[in-house]
Amino acid sequence: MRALCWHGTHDVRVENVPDPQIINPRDAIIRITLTAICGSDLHLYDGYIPTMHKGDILGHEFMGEVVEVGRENKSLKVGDRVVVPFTIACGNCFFCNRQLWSLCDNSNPNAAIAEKLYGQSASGLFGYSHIFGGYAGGQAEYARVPFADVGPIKVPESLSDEQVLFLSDIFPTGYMAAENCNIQPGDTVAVWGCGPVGQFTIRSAFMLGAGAVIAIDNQPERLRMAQEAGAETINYSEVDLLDELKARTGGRGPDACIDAVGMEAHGTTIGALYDYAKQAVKLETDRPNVLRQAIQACRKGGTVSIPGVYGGFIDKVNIGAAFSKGLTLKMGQTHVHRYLRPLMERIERGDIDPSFVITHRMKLDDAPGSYATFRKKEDNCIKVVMTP
Amino acid sequence: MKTIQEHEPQRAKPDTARMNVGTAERVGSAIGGGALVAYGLSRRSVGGALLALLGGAALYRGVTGSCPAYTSLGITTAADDRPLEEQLKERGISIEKTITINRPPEELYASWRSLPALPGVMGGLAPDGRTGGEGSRRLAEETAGSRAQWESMITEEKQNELIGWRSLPDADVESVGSVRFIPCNGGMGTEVKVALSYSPPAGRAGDAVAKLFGKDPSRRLGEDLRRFQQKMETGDIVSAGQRVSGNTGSDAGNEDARRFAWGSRDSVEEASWESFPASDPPAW
Repeated sequence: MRALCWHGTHDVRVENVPDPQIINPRDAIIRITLTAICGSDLHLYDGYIPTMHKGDILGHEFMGEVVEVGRENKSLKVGDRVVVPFTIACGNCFFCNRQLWSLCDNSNPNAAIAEKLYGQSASGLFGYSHIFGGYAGGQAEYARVPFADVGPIKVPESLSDEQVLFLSDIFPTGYMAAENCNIQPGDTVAVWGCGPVGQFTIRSAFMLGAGAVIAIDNQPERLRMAQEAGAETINYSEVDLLDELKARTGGRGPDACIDAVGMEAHGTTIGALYDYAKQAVKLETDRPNVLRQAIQACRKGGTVSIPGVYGGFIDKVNIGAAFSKGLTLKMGQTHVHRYLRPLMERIERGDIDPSFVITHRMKLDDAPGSYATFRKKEDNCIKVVMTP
Repeated sequence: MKTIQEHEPQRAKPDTARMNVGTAERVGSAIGGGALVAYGLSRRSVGGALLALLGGAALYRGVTGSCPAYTSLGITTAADDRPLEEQLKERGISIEKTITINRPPEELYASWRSLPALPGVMGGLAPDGRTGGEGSRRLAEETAGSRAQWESMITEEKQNELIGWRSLPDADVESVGSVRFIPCNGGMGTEVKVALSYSPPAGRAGDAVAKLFGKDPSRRLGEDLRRFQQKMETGDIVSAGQRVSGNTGSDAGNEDARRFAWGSRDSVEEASWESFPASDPPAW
């Protein structure tokens, strides 16, 4: 089959690789009908995630048709049309039983590596380095899905691929980011980063009762898309962001601040330049500029929610500010399984049509070019979907 | 035989108090030492005093059976008839690991008991608990090349609570171990505690054991327990499968594929450090 393989920083190639096979009896093989490039794939593309190896197949947002099921998989059958959560979860362990699906005990065969880095291992992920299991990803013609009897959700005929694909990651991720803020009716929520996750976060915050959402970015087309959802916007390169946020929130600060950017934050502050320098000489793995701002801006007793991915060590984060203001910090990979059904219902009801975020429709063979375009935000690129 | 965890952790007895001189040697040492003391004292000279001191040392080691020189050289000519777990605590490697599994103790106990054993944990152990069976074969496969014979017998059992075992007397690897199953509060699963002491033999069998346990025996035990957990909770041991590599045609790609074949975790770990972007990871 054809698949997008990682070969190094800014080097991805579409290659012929062996077709995937059933390995465990609860597996399924999916023929992929639609797949996407995620912002977090850019962390791999830019070489910031350790334990990537030449030939690794990328991609964790995908859907398709079941073509083969393992002998113990009783919930899927050949021909089912499904969306696959990007987190792999067994459904049997302590964490799955508590709905903490992205913290599954059993889905990461390389848990020992993650334990070394993080103390404990979270779940396995598709196409996201060997720390998270070394599973082949979904930017390919076919994918093997482990624990396919608990993960994939069947899609009603009435909904198109483009409407449901983002249930695999970014819609639940944005939704959980907003849900983590414990939004009270009328709250003001500030969202850093108007990429795809930021866009879903903005819309989810409104669904959960936010009175106002302030969207922060420096890309006009992304700010425009945020405005279409009803958000106010701030271009951080034009104003003093922290002053502006205070001014717009009666001097109090936003009730919740959401870092939908993560480890590769851009910025123009002294802190941002410091991070660029340290990351360049590998003294710091992540650039936490947005996190610093979110902690500084958040009102007393508010919540900082972090859907943006961090991989390692950060520097000069003012934990004293977070402490003295009594902030709540919430973060982590999305417990996708928890949100599949309720969010599918929202799509069916017409509360939201997730395809709004798609700006580029490509073929899998165009993937290397699409990565470059997406990374440089050229051609007003916000979200790329690909058909094999 | 008592199992390991019923002992409070003991400090090793002071080295000087431990017998490490054989019986015949002790008799010779005491007689010769006594004669030297008598002769040295009768000389009434500096040389005589030195001889008397030397004789005193020999007399001491003869009477007490403990030789400081042997101790510092790690030599013993005395037979060690203490229980195996005490011996292993001193000269072997002891590891302990706990994992929480989301199944009731009865189920885990029954599975542990009926499995042909976890080769890295118990060596070969047949269902009757007496002789090597399937487990030994798996052990032999894993250590392909050099063969370590390692069979265990069960020494203690408490239904749904405890299994203790030790290696058979003629085993290449001397080991004692135990597993305890402790129900968690509120019936949410079971703590599985494994304590294991073993003494790797020298020579080819020693190489085989070193291969089996790797550089980090504690981690190897952890991996075995993790697989036991996966088997018990999900019904199978999950795998990412053979790594799929693009058709680059280069040797590097093939080498990579080999390195990432299921089971070769050391190279994965190595790679994680190679590619970790921080130049100086913290000391955890």
